[in-house]
Amino acid sequence: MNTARLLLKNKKWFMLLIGLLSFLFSVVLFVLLVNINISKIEIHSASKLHNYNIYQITDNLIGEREIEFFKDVKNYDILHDFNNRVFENSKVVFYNAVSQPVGLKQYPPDKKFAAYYEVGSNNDLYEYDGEFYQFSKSMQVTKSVFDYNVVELMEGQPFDDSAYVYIAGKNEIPVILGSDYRQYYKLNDQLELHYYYEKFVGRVVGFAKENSFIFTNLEPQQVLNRYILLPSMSLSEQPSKLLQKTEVDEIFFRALLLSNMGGYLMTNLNALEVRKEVADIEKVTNFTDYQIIGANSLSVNLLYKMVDANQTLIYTISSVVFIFSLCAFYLFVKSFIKRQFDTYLVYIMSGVTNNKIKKTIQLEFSILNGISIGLALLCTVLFMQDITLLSILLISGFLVWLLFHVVVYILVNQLLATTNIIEKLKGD
Amino acid sequence: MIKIISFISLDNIVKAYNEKIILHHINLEIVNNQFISIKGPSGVGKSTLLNILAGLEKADSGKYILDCIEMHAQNLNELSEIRGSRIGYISQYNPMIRNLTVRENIVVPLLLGNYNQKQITAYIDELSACLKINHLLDKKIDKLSGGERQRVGVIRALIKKPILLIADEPTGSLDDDTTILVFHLFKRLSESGTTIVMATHSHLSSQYADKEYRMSPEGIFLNVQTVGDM
Ligand SMILES: Nc1ncnc2c1ncn2[C@@H]1O[C@H](COP(=O)(O)OP(=O)(O)OP(=O)(O)O)[C@@H](O)[C@H]1O
Ligand SMILES: [Mg+2]
Repeated sequence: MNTARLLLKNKKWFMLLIGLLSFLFSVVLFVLLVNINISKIEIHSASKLHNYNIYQITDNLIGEREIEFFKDVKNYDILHDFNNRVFENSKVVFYNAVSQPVGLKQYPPDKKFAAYYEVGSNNDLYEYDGEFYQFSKSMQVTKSVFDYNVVELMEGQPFDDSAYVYIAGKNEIPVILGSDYRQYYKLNDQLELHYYYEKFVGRVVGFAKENSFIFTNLEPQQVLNRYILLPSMSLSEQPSKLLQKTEVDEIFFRALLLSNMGGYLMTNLNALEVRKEVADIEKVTNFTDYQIIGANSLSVNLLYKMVDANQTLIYTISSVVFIFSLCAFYLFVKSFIKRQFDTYLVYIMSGVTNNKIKKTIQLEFSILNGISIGLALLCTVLFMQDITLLSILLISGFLVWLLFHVVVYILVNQLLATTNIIEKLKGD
Repeated sequence: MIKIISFISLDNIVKAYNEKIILHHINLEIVNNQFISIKGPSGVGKSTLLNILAGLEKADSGKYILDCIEMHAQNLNELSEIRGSRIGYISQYNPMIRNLTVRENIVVPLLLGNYNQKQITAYIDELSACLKINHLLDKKIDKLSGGERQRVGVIRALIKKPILLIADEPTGSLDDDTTILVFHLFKRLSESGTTIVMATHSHLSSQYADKEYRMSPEGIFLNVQTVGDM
């Protein structure tokens, strides 16, 4: 007869139950911990620059949805409002450097300035209003781009603040050119641009130093030598009003609004906080068709929902479950030992020492809890898809194990005290 | 005069619980291969004395020598080891491991060491036939009556062929006929080399025991009647 089998026969269900309990207990604890540690979460998908967390914000207005959205002029204002509030939020810096080809009439002969030169396209030339333009490499940049990159000018001035605002009737845009343009143009030259379906005059205000680079949504180091830099323009007033005042086609405002909405959010906030910040703006403005990339991993989504639901409720429930589980564990182990008491008596009668029995019980539970807590840890980590809190979870897992160990230790020494055993053997 | 070396020697054993003295200066000499019975009123300390003999607990003072081993000088762990190898113990409470069969319960003491399966099976069959529970061997222990369980406890204590059997009320739940079976078995075992010390309330014990002691708060005394019988 197999000793282990014989002994297990008596208690496998109980062991399983206790194992399950410590598993649940650990999971609850881990979730609680992750919750408490929210402020420390750094999402690995967010890159870092100057100690900032960087998240990407984009719109969800794709295809039909975009058409539907812009059918209502009110929505122009809503998006405009949303953009402004994100832009003006003091906790996040909106950063946008978007590669956006612009039509250039007096294009230089060198094809390297053409937007799609590198991919070997010959369709960069097109006709508009009876004139020929070339799709030229262009970068639309926010003011923050100059703050977070070192773009020195070899000549001219950076954009002044008014450059970043579109006012009704404006048809001149200052431009900064990449160093390669220097042989074709000089300061204050006026370029005829075709930008978002509108004609503009681009006045050259500066030339960037050779090999200046910025980081963009596509390239961490985009060299600007062949580029035309345009200021990313916000609107001076509500687009609905601008639409009335100007001849400009609504498609221009649509493009401008959308390009102003997509970009980076650079912030000290963690993923959850940034979601909360933008969600507050969402509430005020009613604009919902956006997402924050880098702040929408499964774990952040889950946590965000939990926090959003009601943090105190979560804490209360978790604490209750926590205390309940601990009590349940205590009672289960107690009743387990009591149930097994006769078995222990038989062993003691047969020559096993009391100490050995105590140690064996403790070992059994140590292993059982070790496995359960380990599994709980694994599940938590897998579910959160996030290992940033692993060390905290490991330590707390160990502490749970220790806590259970102490519970078992106390119970074993209480219930299996020699006097108890002796008294029992003398008859009930 | 030839000094007989006792198998068990108790010298001035004192045991108290919470300052209440249960055993006052107990002196007892038992030679081997004897079947000793101890009687006495409930609460006088019979079980306590037997537990000390079985090495389950230690006396507060006094000397206990078993088969030349100074038991009083051993700690509880060492006493457990001695119990495991030489002493069979029948508890007044008679614990069993539930969910196991009778046979499985009987072999539990053997799980602690190696044993010969075939030989053991034969021995179990022999003992259980002797106590008339051989038809119950493969039943679950929970299905047995108190008296049947008590006989299982007796067999379990004997399975390792101990040199000393401590039996604390082994027939408490048995009728006279069955009690006689147990006493008869004890008598036979004592003749073939097992020393048996039994606490009992049974009036039948005097017919089988080699010596009968009476325990009272004053101490432990040889029952004159039995001495007379001898
Ligand atoms: N571990 C213990 N702690 C405290 N008191 C104890 C302990 N064991 C026994 N006693 C007390 O010692 C006294 C003697 O008990 P014991 O069980 O030895 O008597 P007994 O002669 O076997 O009685 P019975 O015939 O009822 O079995 C009792 O009063 C009992 O309450
Ligand atoms: Mg007793």
